[in-house]
Amino acid sequence: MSRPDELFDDRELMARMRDEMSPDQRLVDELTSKLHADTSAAAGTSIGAGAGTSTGTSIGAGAASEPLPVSRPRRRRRWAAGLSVAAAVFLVAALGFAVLRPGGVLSLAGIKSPFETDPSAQQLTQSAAAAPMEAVSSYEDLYATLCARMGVAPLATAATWSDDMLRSLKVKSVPASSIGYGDGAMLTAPATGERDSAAESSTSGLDAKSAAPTSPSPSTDYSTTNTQVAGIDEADVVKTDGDFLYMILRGSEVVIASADGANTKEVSRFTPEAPDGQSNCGLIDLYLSGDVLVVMSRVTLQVGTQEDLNAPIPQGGGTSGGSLGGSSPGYPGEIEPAAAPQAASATSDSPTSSPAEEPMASGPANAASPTEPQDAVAPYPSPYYPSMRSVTQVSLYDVSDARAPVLIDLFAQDGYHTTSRLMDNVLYLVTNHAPSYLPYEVRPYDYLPLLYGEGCVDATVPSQHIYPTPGSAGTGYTVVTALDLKASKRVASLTVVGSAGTVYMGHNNLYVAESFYQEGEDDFLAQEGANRYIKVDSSYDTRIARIPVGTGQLALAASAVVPGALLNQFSLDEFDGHLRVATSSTVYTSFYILNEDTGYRSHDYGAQSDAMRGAAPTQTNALYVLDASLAIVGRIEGLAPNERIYSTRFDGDVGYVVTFRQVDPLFTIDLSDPRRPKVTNALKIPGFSQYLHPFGDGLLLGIGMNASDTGRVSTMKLAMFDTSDPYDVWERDKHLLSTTYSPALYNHKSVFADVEKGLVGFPTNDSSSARGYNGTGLYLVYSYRTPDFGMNESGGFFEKLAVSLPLTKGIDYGTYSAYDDRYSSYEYVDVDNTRGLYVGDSFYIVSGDNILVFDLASFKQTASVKLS
Amino acid sequence: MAAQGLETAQNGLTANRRDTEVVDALERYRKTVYGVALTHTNNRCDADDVFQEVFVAYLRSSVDFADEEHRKAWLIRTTLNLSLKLVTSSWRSRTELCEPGAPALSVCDPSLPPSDFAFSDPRADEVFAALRALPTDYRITMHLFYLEDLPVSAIANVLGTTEGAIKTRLSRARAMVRDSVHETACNE
Repeated sequence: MSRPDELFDDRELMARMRDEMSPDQRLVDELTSKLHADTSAAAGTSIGAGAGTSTGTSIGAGAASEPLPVSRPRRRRRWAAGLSVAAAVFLVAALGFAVLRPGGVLSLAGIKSPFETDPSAQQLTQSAAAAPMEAVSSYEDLYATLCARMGVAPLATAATWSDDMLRSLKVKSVPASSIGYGDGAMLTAPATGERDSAAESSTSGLDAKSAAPTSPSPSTDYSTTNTQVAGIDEADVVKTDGDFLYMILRGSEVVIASADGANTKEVSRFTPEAPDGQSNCGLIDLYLSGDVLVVMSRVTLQVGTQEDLNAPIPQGGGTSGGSLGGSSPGYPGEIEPAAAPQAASATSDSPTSSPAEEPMASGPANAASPTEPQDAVAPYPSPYYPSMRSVTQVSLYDVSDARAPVLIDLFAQDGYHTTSRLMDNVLYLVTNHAPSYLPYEVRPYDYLPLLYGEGCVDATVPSQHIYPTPGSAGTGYTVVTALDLKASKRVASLTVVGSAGTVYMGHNNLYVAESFYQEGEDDFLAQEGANRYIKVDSSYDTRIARIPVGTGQLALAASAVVPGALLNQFSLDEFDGHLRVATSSTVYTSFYILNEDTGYRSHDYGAQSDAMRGAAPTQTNALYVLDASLAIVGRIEGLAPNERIYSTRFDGDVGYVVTFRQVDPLFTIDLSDPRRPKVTNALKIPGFSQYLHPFGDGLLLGIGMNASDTGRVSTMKLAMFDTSDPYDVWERDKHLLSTTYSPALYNHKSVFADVEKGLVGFPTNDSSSARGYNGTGLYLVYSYRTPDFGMNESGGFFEKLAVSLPLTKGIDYGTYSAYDDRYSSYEYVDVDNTRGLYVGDSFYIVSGDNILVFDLASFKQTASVKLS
Repeated sequence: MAAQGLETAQNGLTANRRDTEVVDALERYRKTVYGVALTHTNNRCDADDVFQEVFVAYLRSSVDFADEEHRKAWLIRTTLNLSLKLVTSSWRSRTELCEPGAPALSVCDPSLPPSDFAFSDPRADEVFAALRALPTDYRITMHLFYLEDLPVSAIANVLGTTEGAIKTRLSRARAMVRDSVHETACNE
């Protein structure tokens, strides 16, 4: 059945319709006679006065004399008739808003409707802004802080060390049984690190510049990674410089292929090395900066003195592979006989020590007596054991000759890779590290955040740049470094003692945000003897730290706390000296029985279940505008109560927030006055967008899900919103897909969007079951065209490409077959890491070990490359 | 019949134009005027009334038309205005509809239900219903663009707004038409 609006395009139908819309002939005849009668009756009619046309009269004047139809105030048509729930809730607004912590800082009195901001409430929330975080005074101070958070007494041995001592530490890479790549996908890596011939040649230092032509015809126009902020690059698994495609294959190799249309083919590949020269296969992401290819990978290192490295690795600790973020060797009583670990240490590169040496004797001696009662006071374990750490490595390669990349330098830092940014040739790397330290014995490098160079420890973070988050019990480190790619030098480092959940970078600052659990005060309910019945409201708040970038150093300039939690990096945006933050807040109410004699608190499950029956935790959303000191200067609170944020996008003076429970209000927020942000429009349509992308003048693309009137989510949906009038944002076009999943819903880097060409592309999973595994996948490309009524053309989304994603061979590194001397393999569709991009006249889809090439204009396939 | 100045006719009407001019316009624009009236009133009866009133008003008006376009624009606007006026007053008192014996010469049949106009092609009925469901601004714009085949510039002129605004209205109206039926068809 054709759509009703399409009937209008049927010109014949329109013409016939008009023909039929004709007055009855009798009516016309009667009117004609009447007109004649009137005229003749008015015998004195002057023909001259009015009947004659005067060219001097302007049409405008004539037009103005006629009253025009009254323009009704524009009201958005209600898409979901009868949907009173969400609408009513929305309109009732903050009057029902209940983000209250008893005695907490937000008071209901200060909050009116979501469309207004109350300046008097500002003062209250101001006090919630934490004092700026202070750096530790010394490393002893840092250690003491950690011990205090852990609830243990500091040991005296921690204090003395020196930079030289640090640099003398040995570093050895450890094979890990499971390492991931990309931001989330997991693959397994080889069990043994074998030297790769390509890696060998790359470290030989030979001048790799050859006389052979280095590239096919250079193309100047190519797409780049879809980043949040223009001018700030984000790492990805596929990069291009217009001549070559650089990609990570199976998480273990870097492959370079020529971007040559139908003649695309592989030109080289290599595996980056670990700091000690071992092969390193946990590849994460890439960057391209001029002629420098940056490869980030994950390594597990053993760090210590020579004796440490010779010592057996205690069981219950590091050998269970994938001990990400360091390991604690366990407590007394858990150590096993040394036999097995010694076998592992025998393979280590220890040129001098032998098991017969004295330092080793104490190791096995302790370990070989599992039946002895464990003495909690005895030094356990052996003071000599390596500190195991999960480390993120940055390898820089010169790819001026893509056929022969040359390793320039290698850096690493403690921590599991969180994210990174590249701006003005400086790489900012953020990692999360859990220091390993023992209550019984600790060495300085157990708790210091270490930075590595090639094969050694380079430095630690200066103490004046180590900031513990106040009031927190977290003992993890967020390590931030700035690496100058041109000079191949690490220029600055900083650590926040806490864990970074969300990181956002604007042109002037890097923001690190950590959500933490916050409890309000006890709310007295009843007293029964020594039992005090209370309820406590709790929620998540977010601490944001601001770190200026581009200055050649890293220091924390400001920090503050805002209520609620962030969705992702798009929840933050820096513009014109202010930081805009969108948060979702859920308030949970817990019931406890506090025994006043013992001081212990236990759950009152009876009261809890009574209260929970039918009641959902209170949920609300907010938008805050913070100034340079991260104090809140403007806010909108109580936005869409009982819904949560599904996507946010800031675009200069405007912010768009999508919330959803049953319908999707797309809020348009005017941010031109930081002190008075205001919602200018709330568009309610079924479904919700999970990714928003400004698409040119007055257009906003939304990729998300469709849903019924009652909120039942169905399949994916593309929407194009008209944002030209911020007071009247509406859904201009939409397109429903049959699939239910695409990584585009969660990872903006998997989206290909080119506003100038009017194209959007992304991979999807065709099956509704498993994510890509053994299912089918599709890569879809749509063009969007605004209607051109002058040419009588309708607009909308037009499908340009829907191609099946080919299977990729995955290698199961856990299943080495000595008989066949190979690992078993399997096939799957790598939907999550599939990327689409264009170079010159061709469109490339990189999916696992496949490169599909299409003509950019016609989207006809021109080549299909299989990488070995 | 040539005389200077205006004189009131015997039946109280004042005619400023030659009847032939008006009848000429009637012939040329009968479908245009009737179509707009039909789309913007609730039934054939009302459309008939408006149809007559427009040309009577034309007869009595003293607007100087610079050219044919101007005249057409005036007629359309007047039809729209009168339609809206009639609809508004109809709301108040339905009994005023179609009184036989009233000065109007309509061939109305009071037994006809509202929106009684039907086309030979059911798709046209669908289009008609979709149009009538639109708010006035959008309805007149769509009608003029698709049924009267006026270019965007002319519509902008007729309705006294910008071409951009007209294009926006067309986009929005189409989206409204698409979605309003789509919603119910999706059975959600």
